[in-house]
Amino acid sequence: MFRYAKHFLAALFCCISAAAQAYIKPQIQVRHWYTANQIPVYFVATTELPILDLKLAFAAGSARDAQQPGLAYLSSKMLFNQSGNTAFEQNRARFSSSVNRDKTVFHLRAVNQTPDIHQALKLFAAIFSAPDLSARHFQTEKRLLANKIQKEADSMKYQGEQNLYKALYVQHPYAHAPLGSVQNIQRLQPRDIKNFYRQYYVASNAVMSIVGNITEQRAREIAEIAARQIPAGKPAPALPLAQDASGAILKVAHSSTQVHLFIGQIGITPTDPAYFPLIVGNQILGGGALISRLGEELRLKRGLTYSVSSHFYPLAARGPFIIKLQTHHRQAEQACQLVQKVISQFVTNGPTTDELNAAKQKLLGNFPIQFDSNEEIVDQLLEIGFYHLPLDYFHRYQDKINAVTAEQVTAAFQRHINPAALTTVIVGGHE
Amino acid sequence: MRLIAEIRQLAITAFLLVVVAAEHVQAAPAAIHECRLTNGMQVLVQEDHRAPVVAIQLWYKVGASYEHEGITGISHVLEHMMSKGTPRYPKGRFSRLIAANGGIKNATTAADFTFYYTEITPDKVPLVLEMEADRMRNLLFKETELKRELRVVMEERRMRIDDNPEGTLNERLRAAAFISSPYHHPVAGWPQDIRHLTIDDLRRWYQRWYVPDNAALVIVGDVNSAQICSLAQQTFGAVPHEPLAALKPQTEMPQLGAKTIIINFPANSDYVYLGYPVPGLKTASQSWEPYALIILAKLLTDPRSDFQQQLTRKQILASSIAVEYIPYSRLDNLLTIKARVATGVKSRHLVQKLFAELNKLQTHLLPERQLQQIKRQLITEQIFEQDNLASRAREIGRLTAIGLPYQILGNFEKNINAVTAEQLREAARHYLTAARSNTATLNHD
Repeated sequence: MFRYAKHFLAALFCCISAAAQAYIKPQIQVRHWYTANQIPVYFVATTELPILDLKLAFAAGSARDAQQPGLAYLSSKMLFNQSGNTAFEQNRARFSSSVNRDKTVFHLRAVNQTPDIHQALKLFAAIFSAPDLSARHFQTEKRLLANKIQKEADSMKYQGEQNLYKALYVQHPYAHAPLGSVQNIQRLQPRDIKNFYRQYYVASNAVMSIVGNITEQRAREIAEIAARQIPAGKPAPALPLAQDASGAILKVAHSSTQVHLFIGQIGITPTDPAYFPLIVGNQILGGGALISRLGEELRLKRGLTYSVSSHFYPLAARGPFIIKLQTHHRQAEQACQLVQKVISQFVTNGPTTDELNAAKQKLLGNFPIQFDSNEEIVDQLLEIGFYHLPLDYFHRYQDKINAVTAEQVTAAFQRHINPAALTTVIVGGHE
Repeated sequence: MRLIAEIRQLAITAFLLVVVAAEHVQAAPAAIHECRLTNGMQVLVQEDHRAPVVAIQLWYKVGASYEHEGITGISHVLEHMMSKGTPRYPKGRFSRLIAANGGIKNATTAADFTFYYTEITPDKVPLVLEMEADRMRNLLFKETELKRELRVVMEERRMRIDDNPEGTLNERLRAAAFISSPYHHPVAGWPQDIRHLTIDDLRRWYQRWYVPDNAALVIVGDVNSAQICSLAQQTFGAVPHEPLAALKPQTEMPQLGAKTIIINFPANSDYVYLGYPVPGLKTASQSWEPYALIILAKLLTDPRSDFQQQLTRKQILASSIAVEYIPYSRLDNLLTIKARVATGVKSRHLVQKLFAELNKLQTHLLPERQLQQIKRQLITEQIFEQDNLASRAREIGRLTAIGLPYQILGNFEKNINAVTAEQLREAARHYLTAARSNTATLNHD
């Protein structure tokens, strides 16, 4: 009965909205409040699965490393000795962390069953008041991080991406890789970690998201337990906005038959007014994989590559726009020139009506499909909280996509993408 | 007064019961409904009404292990060709229709199966089934399309294998470990086989294997099982039954002793891969064996295990060690230990130590507490996997594709819990021996 009501409501919404296209909206209700220590919490109740997902993020990404690349990453690992401690697993839970340039995120995934869930939550809360800063743990994590960096030296994808960031951002805090370098890691001391916690792992710098088969009342209780031990502190200052790069070609040595190409420039923040026209435009240019201008020209027509795509990666201080593809090294020049041509044509002329409609249909229809798991919802909630996106995000996103016009796409691309100043990183090709 | 107190007591008790009941949730997955169409095709459906989304997977029981030398890689190329259109839905139409409805579309070829995956809203399910049924028998084969697609496939091979140290090492390991088993050759196929595939080869392969009897439709999501069965009959049921050509027996020659290979390949470190032929859910002579091997594989990757501690912590001979074991294999496969040699360490030294640690598994019994922890982890992970519609459909599909009943999924927890420390030791004694070992070393200098 409830299911039919859900679909009836969805149908109702789609008829009410003065839209050319009908679409189903995800039925996701976001609840929002603050913990006693003022951490904003975003919650969605789900059913059918006994899983709880809780994510706690701090504005403590690698952009906060200052002169110590790798500090944010190592700090996130030092909070809890994952490789030495079975406490979470014993309580049917999993603790993990991730660090990107903007934020550090801690994730608790737990089977929602007593008494395990209580224990898992207590454990999670406790690590913020008592991180394992022993010398032994410190040495282990440093070594694991050094190993990880060395392993990435074999990854053409990693080398290409990180070198592109370096070339684009130069001296900006986004330039260096979040993992840092082996030399930098060696220089880090436990006091650096402590200072990092003191400065950044604080309530006024935090955001929390919760998804699970629980009531809002229960979610509020859980949020309090999880947040209780975190001191108030001060929010991290805003990062300086990145300035446009001048465009350059950089070759990274790697012994391979293919080259991996990373072509890009500095893009936007998550709240840029041009966000929706750019997303729609990017879908046409290269976001739609095979059904895109880049896919059509490079793979379908010429078989030059297995995979080609373009993406905007919005970040707080302007994240990059990146085109990626791989091709036999003898085809590298042809591929680069073709990419240049495709982008120039798109920026100059914009999309056709058919392309615009197809892209919108894809994005509109895909939106509810994107949120069919706890994981996807809890991630998006965190983005909403961290970047101050509107609370009605799940409800309004498709309306905004639907409202985009061809003129807006063309104007947005002309304003934000400069085909004459793209930075290119070419990895490999030396046999 | 007393009456009110009693009522209050009852109310509190009721409240507690409600709280407890709400917290105690059923971890078992929803029921799977099965139906078989008149032409022999299998259909499996699991309802999930969390979101207006449906995961549709069409599994064909054919993959690289069905191929022979000369046409290796053909199943993968056929997967690429499946997007080239039919008379009714010309090239790109299927993709565009799915995209136009916001859906996601993908395909995967493996050794034992090929499956085509679409994720879409419930109202578009009939359209997807119609298009999948159509391309099951009506695919167009054009020379120019094949030529172009072979170039794409070669780029894919380069990316995944030829330029990839671990990709190459794994390919060479398996070629050495498997003598007569069709797991000897890679899913991507050998380059000269790929380059020489003809349009006739593709058409013949398609006509032989893409028949209703050889396919299983798996659907997980916001659907009604009964409706799906009748919809499947309307769409796929129209595809005429074709006799399924038999596959000749593919037995592996018994391994007569340890094998070692060395490859020289540019990389930033040495790698050591150790592969042991082991049975899976389909081929095990004793039903507990695959579960013991699942536990062993998990144990070997647990950072707190003796194995990891001795090799990556107390002494640092490897910077990382991963383990791969695929229980849902059609034939005996490998349990592979994948190690990256630590800087300054000689790979043969790591190999010696790996053998020494594996020997311990044959003599020592794993302490009960540790065994319980590993079991708990495996069961918890299985619950977490339920979050994703696609992975649930895959779990059902990959069992069905090798002719195993999906009920195995529901018994996972029971079977894992039943494994004893003695059985673990027995599995190690039987399978992880020097005489059965296949060692592949990548020398990066």
